[in-house]
Amino acid sequence: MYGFALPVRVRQTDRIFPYNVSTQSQHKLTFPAFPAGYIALMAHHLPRSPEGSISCLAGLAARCLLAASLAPGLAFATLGEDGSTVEHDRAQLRAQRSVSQASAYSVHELQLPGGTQVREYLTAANQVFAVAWNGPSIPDLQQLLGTYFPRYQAAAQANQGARRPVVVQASDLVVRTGGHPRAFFGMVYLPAQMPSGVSAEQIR
Amino acid sequence: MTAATHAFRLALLTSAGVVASSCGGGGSGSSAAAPPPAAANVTTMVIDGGPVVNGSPTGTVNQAYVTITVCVPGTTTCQAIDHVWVDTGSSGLRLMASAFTPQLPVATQGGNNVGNCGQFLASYTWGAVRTADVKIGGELASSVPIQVIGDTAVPATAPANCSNGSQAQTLGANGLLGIGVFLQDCGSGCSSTAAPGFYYTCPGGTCQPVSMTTNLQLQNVVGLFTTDNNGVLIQLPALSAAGAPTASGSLIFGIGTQSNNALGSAMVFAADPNGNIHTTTTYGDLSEPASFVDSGSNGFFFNDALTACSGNSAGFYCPASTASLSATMLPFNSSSGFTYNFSIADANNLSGDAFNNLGGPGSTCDNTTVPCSFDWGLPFFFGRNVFTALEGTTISGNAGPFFAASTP
Repeated sequence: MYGFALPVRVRQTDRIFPYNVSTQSQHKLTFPAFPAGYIALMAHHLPRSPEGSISCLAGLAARCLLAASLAPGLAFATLGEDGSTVEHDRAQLRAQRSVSQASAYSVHELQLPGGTQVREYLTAANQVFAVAWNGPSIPDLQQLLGTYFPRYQAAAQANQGARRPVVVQASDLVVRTGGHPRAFFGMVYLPAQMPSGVSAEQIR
Repeated sequence: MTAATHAFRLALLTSAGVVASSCGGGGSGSSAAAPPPAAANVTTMVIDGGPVVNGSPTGTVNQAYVTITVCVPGTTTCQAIDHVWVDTGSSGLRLMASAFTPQLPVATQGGNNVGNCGQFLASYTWGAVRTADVKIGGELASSVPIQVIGDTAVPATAPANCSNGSQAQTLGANGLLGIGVFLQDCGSGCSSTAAPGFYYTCPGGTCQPVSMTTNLQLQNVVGLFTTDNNGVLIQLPALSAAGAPTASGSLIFGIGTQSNNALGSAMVFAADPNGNIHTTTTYGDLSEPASFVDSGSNGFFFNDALTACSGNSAGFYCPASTASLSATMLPFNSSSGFTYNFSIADANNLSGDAFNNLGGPGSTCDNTTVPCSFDWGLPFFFGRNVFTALEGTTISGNAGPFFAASTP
């Protein structure tokens, strides 16, 4: 269910579904450094590399998945933070991980028990600028979003437990979520911290 | 919604005398023809503004309810619970602890009470797993694991990897009857893996995920009925564009199992393993592969350039004039679908509890990192037959899971 349908209030002064959304300013992430198909593959069917192994995406040999141990400078971290929290998210989420490297950023994938996938996008300076997930459950966003989690919570709580997408569209933070039980997805990113070559563009 | 319209709604509620059920066979009074006995696989659905709290309905919109009966397993210690929200978008029965009194046995694992997490898009439910016999209409499911929200058998605070969003203290319902396409709330993903977001034990007050075999997980009660157990049919009346103060229809169990639940000419939309169908919209030519049909959504939720409401209707669309739209519903594995017409009215101008033209924006998407989605919520159900077929079933040659709907 989507839109945990809220009790609509009788009084005009009560706000319902007050989430911060503008259909006039929908954004999507584009990653010009990668072919579109690569992102799609990343998002939905990334090979599940056991921790410590090395594998490459078919046809994209230049963009190998590197074992984390072979890329000590790359770390799982929390949104907006740097690599000082190496391994922390992975350990907290009891996940397996793999890393793919591009020139402008790296993508760190966490494979959670139960099948949910989390992807953390890190700048070359090792700072997390985006977190995305898809799978049967919503991951621990308090862990993954760090100092941004209260804003996610505020958006989610804005209408007293309603089931509907959590959406934030602010100059410094974009949140979009969707799906239903056993098939959730979502993405949170920091527009100002996206590396050059990674842009948010309007869709339709 | 003004106080005046609210009063109007209350008056209608009273006169309509919201029918809880008509089971049994109607007796043989001296008046003319007694009504025909209700079939055992039918129960009445109402959309009426929600449970009465302090003398007034909660004030919900497009939430469809049934009355169920919960019993201590194997006993006649039972309680009827009204206003249980019918949700074809999730699986498992979740009841507010405050809504009933029977002491149901709590599930344990390794000597610890089992907690369950129900994650929804912006909220979650947390509570203990208990076992109940569940009766709906004339159907019975025995020894069903259910979630009791707010149950003191587990710590009051949900684990961090459950508690994204807000805790659903009030559902606008006394419970949630998840009768979607899945047989369990989690399925095989939890059977041998301690998957976060589903099952927990809390030794010493610290909750950790645990695995749970599928038959001990929250069950879609329909799959446990002895008959009529392959899915459901929801029939709600057609509504005018003005909506209605209340609406009443039927929740019918089984598909193609009785004379009252035949697929007939309904079009079948196969769902993928995630429970999703496909939708394409004519406006903007948007492809939405993560779409679904959900009685638990109170509107159509999709992305469009329609004006979003502000103020107390934020989250819905408020077009200056009613928008006439169409979208094509497709099986996940086929390009052959059916185009349904629908309208989106200004949510600020609607008054009542039941509407076929309420909608709102969905999540933003790009079909690369975030898939696009069209949520065919309760407005879609008015005036047509809508079927939800369980995974693992085959009905008239159609493999579940699937949704099916009459055309138009």
